[in-house]
Amino acid sequence: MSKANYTVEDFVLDPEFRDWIFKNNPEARAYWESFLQKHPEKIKEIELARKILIHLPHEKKQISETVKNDLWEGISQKIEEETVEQSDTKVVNLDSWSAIKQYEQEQLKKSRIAWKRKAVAILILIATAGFFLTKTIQLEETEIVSPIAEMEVHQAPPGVKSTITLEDGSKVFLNSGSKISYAKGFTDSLRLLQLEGEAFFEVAHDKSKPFVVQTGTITTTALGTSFNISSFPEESVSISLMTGVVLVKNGDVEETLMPGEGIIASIQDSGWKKERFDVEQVLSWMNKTLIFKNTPFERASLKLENWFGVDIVFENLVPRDLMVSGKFKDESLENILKGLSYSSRFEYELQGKQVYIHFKP
Amino acid sequence: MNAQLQISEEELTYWTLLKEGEQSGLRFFYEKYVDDLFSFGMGIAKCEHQVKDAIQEVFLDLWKYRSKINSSVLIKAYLYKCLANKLFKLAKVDKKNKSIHSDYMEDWELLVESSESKLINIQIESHLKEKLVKAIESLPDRQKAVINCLFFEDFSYEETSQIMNINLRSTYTLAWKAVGSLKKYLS
Repeated sequence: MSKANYTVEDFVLDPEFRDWIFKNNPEARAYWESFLQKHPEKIKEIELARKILIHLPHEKKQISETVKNDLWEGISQKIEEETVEQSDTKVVNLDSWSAIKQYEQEQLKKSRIAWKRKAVAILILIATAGFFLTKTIQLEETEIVSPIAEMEVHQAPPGVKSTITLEDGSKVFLNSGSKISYAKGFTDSLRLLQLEGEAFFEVAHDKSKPFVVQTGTITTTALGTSFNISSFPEESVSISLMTGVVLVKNGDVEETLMPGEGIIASIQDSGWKKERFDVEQVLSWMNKTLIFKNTPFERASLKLENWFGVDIVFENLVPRDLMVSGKFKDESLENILKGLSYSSRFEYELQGKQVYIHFKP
Repeated sequence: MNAQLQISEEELTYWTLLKEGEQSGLRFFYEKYVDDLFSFGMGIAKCEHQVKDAIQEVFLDLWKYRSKINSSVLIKAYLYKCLANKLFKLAKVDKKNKSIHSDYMEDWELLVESSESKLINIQIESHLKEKLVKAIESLPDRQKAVINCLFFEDFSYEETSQIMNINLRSTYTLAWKAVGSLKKYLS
């Protein structure tokens, strides 16, 4: 249909017409202005169409936070009930046929689980083998390759987060103030990266080339998995596995992680502990959320400096043992400072990239 | 207009988590879309309890069928489609039973936002807006839903037709009829 025959309805329903009215972008403007010139008889229709568009009321019905939370609780509860039901449904057999069928199914399930176990075991084996392989190759390569290899460096300055897709298709989500570097094109036998700071890795599957992340003396080896590593200066290194299997190694100590498991390595000594982690908290940075849970004030202020790319200056001593807690989703620095200033009793002043904090006596 | 509908890296990450069976993945999509879904649902059903139940079912379905849903599916459009399906089905049953649902107004507030809030320097005539509020209220449910999708959720005609489960031609016809009635109220 030619636009010369447009009715009011057609104008209102034409996305390009709406672009002109609402966005007024240059191409749309040029197009519709020349249209007006050619078809002055359409001015009345266009006027009415515009009137309808700009006065269109949008009724937004809102629900309160409590209702929203209750609703979620309902969903979450039902999911859990169903998982429990699935795992312990008791079957009463009505006749011999159903009894045979039931045992047949159970047998099938068992063999499936066994198969899965075997698969995981094999994966670990491969990962371990891959690791030792890489270790030997690494030694050789550092002598030969490193002087000429071109290094690729990606950096997210404080206040900025970034996403990088590597040559092999793996994805790296870099948190603020973090950096990865690797030899261009990787090497023939492995994908080796150095990380400073925090990143989430989604590793593209490639059994022949283990994916190795180095953070200080700790290496994390994976084949095709997703995991988060946080390794900021003067903070313990923490590695959290979402999917797949990884092998973490520091000197002679090594640990295999399964999904949901994490490692926190202390910086004072070479010890580490393995524990289950809170997915929401670990991945909060990707969701633009800052979470403090009884975090020492000085550590929290380092996080803020990194997150927003600012300098925080203490005008007097930070009270000893001052801890902060709170969850801030996509909040401005000003709002976070305001929130913390009540509980931690301080006054603050924002001057460009400088924040001055003065604790009340 | 479609740029904002493209799947973000963040969504992809949580989508992966959801597929792995992590509740936090589901939670992410719930938090992100529950407000819009509720508002959209209330445009169709009026009864808050129906909408809330339907939203619960939509997310339980998403959980149940997570492994069968293709990753390339636009999650927002998918959620809208499921919700619209459930509510239109309910509306049919309601008509059959001729049952009258009372309107519970307890938990939500009405907020009239006009599309002009996106604009600067446009003279708004409030009496025209009032007229259009009435005009929209009097539209049949399906017409209202199409208008919501096209004008306020920025879905394309293709996406809207999928959400409404009708073909492209009928989507356009519904929208055309709706705008026709709005026009009558203004002239």
